[in-house]
Amino acid sequence: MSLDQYAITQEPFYAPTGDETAYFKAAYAERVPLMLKGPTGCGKTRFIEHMAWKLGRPLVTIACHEDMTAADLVGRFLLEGGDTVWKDGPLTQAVRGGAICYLDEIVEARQDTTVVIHPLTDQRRVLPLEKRNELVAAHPDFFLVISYNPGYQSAVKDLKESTKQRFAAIDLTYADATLERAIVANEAGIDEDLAKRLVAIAAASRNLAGKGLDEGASTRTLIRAGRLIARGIAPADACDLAIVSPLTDDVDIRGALRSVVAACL
Amino acid sequence: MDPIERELRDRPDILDAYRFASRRISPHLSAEEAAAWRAGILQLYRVNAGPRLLRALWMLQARILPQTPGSCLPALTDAVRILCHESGARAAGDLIEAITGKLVFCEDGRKWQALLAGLAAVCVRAPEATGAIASSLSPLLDRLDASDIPGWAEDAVRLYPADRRSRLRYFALDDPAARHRLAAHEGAVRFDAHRERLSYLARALFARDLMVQPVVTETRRASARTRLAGPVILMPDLAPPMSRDRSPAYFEAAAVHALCHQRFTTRRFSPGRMKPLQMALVSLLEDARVERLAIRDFSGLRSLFLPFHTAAATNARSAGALMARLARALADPSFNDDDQWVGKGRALFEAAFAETPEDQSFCETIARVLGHDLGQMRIPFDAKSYIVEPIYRDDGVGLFDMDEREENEPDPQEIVLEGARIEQADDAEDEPGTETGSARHQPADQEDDRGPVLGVYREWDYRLHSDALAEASVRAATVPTIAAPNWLDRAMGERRREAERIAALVRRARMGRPQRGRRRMEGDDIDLDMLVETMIARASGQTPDPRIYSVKRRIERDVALTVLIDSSQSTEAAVAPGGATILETAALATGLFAEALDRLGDRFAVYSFSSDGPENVRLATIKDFQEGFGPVTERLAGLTPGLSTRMGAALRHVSVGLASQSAFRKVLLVITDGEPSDRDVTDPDYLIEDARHAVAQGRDRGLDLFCIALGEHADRSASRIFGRRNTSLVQRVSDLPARLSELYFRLTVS
Repeated sequence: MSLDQYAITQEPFYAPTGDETAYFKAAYAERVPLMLKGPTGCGKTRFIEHMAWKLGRPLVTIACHEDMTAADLVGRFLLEGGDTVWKDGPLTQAVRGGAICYLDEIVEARQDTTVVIHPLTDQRRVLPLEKRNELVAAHPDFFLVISYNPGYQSAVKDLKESTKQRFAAIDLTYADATLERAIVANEAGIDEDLAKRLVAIAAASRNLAGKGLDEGASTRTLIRAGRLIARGIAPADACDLAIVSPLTDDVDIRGALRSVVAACL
Repeated sequence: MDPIERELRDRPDILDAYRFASRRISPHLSAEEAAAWRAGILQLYRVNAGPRLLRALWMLQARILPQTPGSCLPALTDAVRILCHESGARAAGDLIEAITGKLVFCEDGRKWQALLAGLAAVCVRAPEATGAIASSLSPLLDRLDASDIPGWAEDAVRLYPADRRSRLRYFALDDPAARHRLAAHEGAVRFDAHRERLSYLARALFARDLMVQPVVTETRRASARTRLAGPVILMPDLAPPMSRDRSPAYFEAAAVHALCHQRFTTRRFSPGRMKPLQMALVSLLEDARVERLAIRDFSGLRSLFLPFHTAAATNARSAGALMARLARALADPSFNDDDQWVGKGRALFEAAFAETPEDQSFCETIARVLGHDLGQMRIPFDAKSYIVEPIYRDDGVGLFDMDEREENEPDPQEIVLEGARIEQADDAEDEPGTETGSARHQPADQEDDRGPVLGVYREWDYRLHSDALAEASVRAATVPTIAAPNWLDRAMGERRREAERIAALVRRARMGRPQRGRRRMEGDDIDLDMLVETMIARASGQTPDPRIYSVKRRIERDVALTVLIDSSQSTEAAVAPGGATILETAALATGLFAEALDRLGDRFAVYSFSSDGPENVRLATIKDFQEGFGPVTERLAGLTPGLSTRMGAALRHVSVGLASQSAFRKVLLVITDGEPSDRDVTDPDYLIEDARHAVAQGRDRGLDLFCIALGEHADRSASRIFGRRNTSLVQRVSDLPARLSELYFRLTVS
């Protein structure tokens, strides 16, 4: 089976904010499963794409959601012609083909679903396919990464302790102002001065994290705002579209954020 | 000939006045405008306006005209005609004269036209409004914009649609409701309306907590300024007179300016032997410096501050005017001012700021130079009348370290303070115990038989479409417990059959049943039966059904329930002659039901309520979510009927508690036997509509609210409150034990 469709051909832009690249390489060499923690839109997905490109491995990304079942991960029987045929799920494909498998926002999946990854994350490195009565031994290059946004944490949505402790964790945060400015300018195609203003808006909104907002504006929202501005939307409107309105529905916080936007632009 | 002249032939007194007015007014009007004006006047005359009203109106029109478009006059005249027609010439004349007395020289009259037009609409339904508002115009204008007064008057008509005497008290501001509504209408100009937003802004921009103590004043004062008191900002509670839509910007600018000081004024200046003029200049320069520093980080702040700088470069050479211009020159790079003194101040500041922007001591140096120059120019500085400009800036007192002043010197604090006139700040400082703001309204805990207040909830007034007027306090009530075994335990023992039925329901509702879904387009497994059918269809050349998958899901039961029992006086009635009372039956039903829920594992809470006026809505906790089943029957057995049924407040209180539970489904069941009532309420719809509003609020919080109405009578009001579909009528109250659990499981088992 070919994993070519999962290969990353062009280098994704990623500006390291710390030593995460070295950590990742070391964990990969030892096949220590990794957990990427960090606030939304800080570049977790981009980082893993970048690393997959760097390591030359295909990357199978699975966005987890509430209705995801174990079968969605490992595979199921399908009808083909007159026969029932087993079809590997994305996780099984990655295990067989030696890809990096990235389970995005793993807490969104139900806890009974996530236990299927347990045998893959200890020394066994196998994936049992109950329905097929098969035990798939992981390809030597197979590597498992999950992402996990601690901001969502609540009694309802948290990883099982037994799942958590199978991973080493890399904490990612937003880049510092200078670097973030460069990232926004580069990704959105806007000038540094405007990028600097957008970064100031984000920094101000992050002051409200946990004090009104769950999280501040992410680098991603800044890039979105920047792109809208590059498209000819007035900066204040673009910030409203991409930053203020998505962040909150609270009238007072919106009012404050609009004032912040006005103050920064 | 002028038609008015013809009509006024026999009224020489009015004719003279008209000719005079016409000479003053016509020059400002075009030919058409003048014709329209005359037509309006003629109509007004024909509704018996009389000489006094006409003269007053002409005076008003003549005085506003230079700044008001002439096209406004007919509308103004027309409004006066309606006022005169409805309320009489005398009342209308009083109102016009009162307005004329409030005119400011060279004022745009459109706001007065809006006031008169609005009142004309009100006086059709409340003719007494015109005269009454004429006498209370002055206090009203202290707090409201002219254009906001009709809205306030309109509330009186809604509040007392058929009660002229009450309306008169309202218009005379003798009615507490009038002051409530006044506060509601002036809301936007009050600091409190902006507190939340500005707190977030302070946190976002400066990563600081905004600590503001509003300084309460009766009226809006043009001279009110903020003052820094260490980390606290003393802020005028009411924005200075300005249009309503400007007040958000005013409070924002004032708060941000104060925050700039807190961020960038690193030490307080030492007053040493500074003269008041020097101190005023130091604070002016420091104001400009901290704003500049903030603008360096947030360039958009400039456009927040600039609109308040209105000083124009005129020839006026008073100290106050020059300083306001200097303030503007330092804030606004595009401001041109040829004055030498202003230019010098600007140059000195720019040079120093370019060199050492972080060093606040250059302000003192420059202030000395500028103060000296002003003295040389023989321009006197009157510290007592000096007011910091622009309006959003602090009075400067907080920038100085007053403690080091020697005792025997005149206290500069007093001097600057006089000028700044934050009226009641001193009182607040003198009596550290008196808190301004909301804390003051908290009544002291009274030692009486009423329980502690659990919460205060606003009541919805359907006539006013507002919940700003009335509130009800929910207080904790205690339930006497009757130790087990008591009558309830015995009664529950006798109801074996019901208990068994309920147990059967519970078994069906047990949580976490796996459920198989067949015929799915997607799924985890192939559905063999469907697959066979599909193969047959294919073999026989028919179109096969592609839905050949099945899914296996666990349906998890995740419900939180609150039961609210009405324990008002009417529940004392016996269900059957000589039998148990309504409340006892409700207690029995709840007991059986609670037992079942406990076995099932659903989280639930049980409360009972009654009321004795809005200050005392008594809520007894029979079981809260954390407690076990243990004492429930003991407390249920101790329920006693009494008092009235103020349902809305009780609903609001338990809704809040239920909404905070984390459950997929949250159900609130109310058991009641009659319609809401209370001793202070005469309008039967008031409490029903309030409860209906409370139900809507609960639904907004994601709750499912249902009512079990005991008897036809209760059903009528309950279906208005909860809606037909969410009300279940139990005709024979003795059926309640069986019906309660049935209803619940019907609601919560899918």
